[in-house]
Amino acid sequence: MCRLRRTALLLVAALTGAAVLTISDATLARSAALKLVAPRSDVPIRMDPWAAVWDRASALDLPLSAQSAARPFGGRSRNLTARAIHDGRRLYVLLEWEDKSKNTSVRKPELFADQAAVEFPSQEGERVPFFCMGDPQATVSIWLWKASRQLDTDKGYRSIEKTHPRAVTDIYPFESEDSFNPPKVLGNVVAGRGDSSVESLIGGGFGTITQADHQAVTGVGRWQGSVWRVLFTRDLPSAGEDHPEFKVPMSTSAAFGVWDGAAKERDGQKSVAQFVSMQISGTPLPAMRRVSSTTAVVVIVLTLIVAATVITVLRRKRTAKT
Amino acid sequence: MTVAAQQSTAITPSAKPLIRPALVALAIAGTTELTLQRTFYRLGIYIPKHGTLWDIYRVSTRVGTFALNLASILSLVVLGLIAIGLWRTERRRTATLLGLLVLVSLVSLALTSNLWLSVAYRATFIVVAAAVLVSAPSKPPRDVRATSIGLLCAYGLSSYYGLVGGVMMALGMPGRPWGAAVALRLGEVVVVALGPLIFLAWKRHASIHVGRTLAWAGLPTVVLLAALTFQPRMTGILVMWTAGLGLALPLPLYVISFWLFTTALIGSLAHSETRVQGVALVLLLVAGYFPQSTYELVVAVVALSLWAEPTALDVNA
Repeated sequence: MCRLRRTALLLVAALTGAAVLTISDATLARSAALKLVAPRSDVPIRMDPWAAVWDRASALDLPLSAQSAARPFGGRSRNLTARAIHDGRRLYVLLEWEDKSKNTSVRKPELFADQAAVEFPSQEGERVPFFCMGDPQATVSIWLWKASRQLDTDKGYRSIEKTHPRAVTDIYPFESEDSFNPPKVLGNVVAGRGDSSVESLIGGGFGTITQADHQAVTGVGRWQGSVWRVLFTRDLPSAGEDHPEFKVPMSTSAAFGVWDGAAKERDGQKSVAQFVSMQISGTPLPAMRRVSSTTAVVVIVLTLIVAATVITVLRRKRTAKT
Repeated sequence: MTVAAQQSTAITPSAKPLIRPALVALAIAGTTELTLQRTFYRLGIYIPKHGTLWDIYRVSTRVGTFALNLASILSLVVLGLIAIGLWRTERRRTATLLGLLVLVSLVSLALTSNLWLSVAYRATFIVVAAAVLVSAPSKPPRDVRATSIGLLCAYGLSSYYGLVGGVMMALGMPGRPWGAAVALRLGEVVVVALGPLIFLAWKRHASIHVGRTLAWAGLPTVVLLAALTFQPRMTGILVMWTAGLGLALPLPLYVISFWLFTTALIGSLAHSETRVQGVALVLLLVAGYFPQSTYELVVAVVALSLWAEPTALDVNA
């Protein structure tokens, strides 16, 4: 009876505790995963993804997987490295991934450009939205970079005449009149003339992607040695309702996506990573050190020494008993 | 071994009655949250957002959240009970380490999350796991020892990136830990190899029909095979998010390893003498290869404790 009573008490206590946690939306578990930390830089950050300052930032390796939640499916397993820094006024996020081919041209229907995206929950404090394009109850702010728009930004808009200089056309009446160019008149960022390689978008679920009213994000991408590096930047304060507010210090979540133009990836055909924790920190960006491998070895050796010591002591104790 | 120690290898009566029901409840709660919270919830994108299906989905995920909270509480309770029992059987150093893990788990909830806390937690987990596996008072059979070492290697390799990367980030060291991807993949090789090893360890002591158990285990294996064949991408994502496996090796290896592991699990649970080992295997599934939360790490330590010395815990009494 005593044993039954103790068992019953234990189970009732556990069930009650679980009920309280569930109702209050609290949890007894803490994440032990790594997070992306954005320290504060003491030097101006140039719009150069390969600048030396990024060697001082901690890198977070993320596995990407194919998008298979909604058609069109696509993408594949690959790795992405993310880094972040802020200077007190702007947040900078750097993405790096391997890509053997540099795909920047969309001059033919069968050509697709490399792309990369960063995604944040639009509102701080809301439940984490579905990482693939958000959901109606929790929208996401998407910063989308395209290599084709980067080419336009770098070398000027690639008009038909520039792409196909030998092409011959009849006259286009009223060619220069805006009324015959509705996307441009309406401010569609895709119809722009290469002002920026990054689009600021809002997602509330599959098929709902919308251009943000205010294009607050800029960026630049550079391909070097079969590696793309894309740098995104935005002011820390929010630019509007659908733009996340960043401040120092704070924690938020970030998700990532990459498209490989050579594999004809576009739209939902992408490699994606789920949300990871991101912390905008007031700690300063450390000075450059070149002992990272040594630190790894030291930590491993220390852990092994501690484990071996514990094991040896326990074995001696056991031997003494026998 | 002294006479006193021999007489006290079992847990004292005050702790004995509580561990068994707590373990059963933990195994049930853990598999429920694994099924509903970590797997079914992530299929929500396919659920129509209206009608009965949506209501079922919402209720199921709420039940999954409750199961997660219950499993989190029970995992700490079970670990504490194991620590109390070991303390009273003069294995105080191991008991202290288990108690330390419980304490660090509770402290981590009260403190603001930071990198040093994550690093300390993961380092504590590795040390505790090693101590539990090597401090068993009775010498385990060779196959149990091999699988215990394999489990420790797998968790060590999966913890390498979190541990070393966390130290580097906390110290502000640039770059990434050397060999992190290699360590993760090596760990997967160990996990795949553990399936047949655990099957052989169970088969040696199996007192029920092995062929029949293999057939029963074939059912979930066929489901896994079908999922990998017809929905490879979604299955790959779910496997990564639940078990922490990247499926980098040839898929047939995972299927065969899963089949043999499931056979050992079903066979162990089906017989009272090996039920503790069966619960250990269930909890290993719940913890996964790449534990990402304090709850999963605690469940892993409980599983390792049960696997390393089920008879010393004497939970079948």
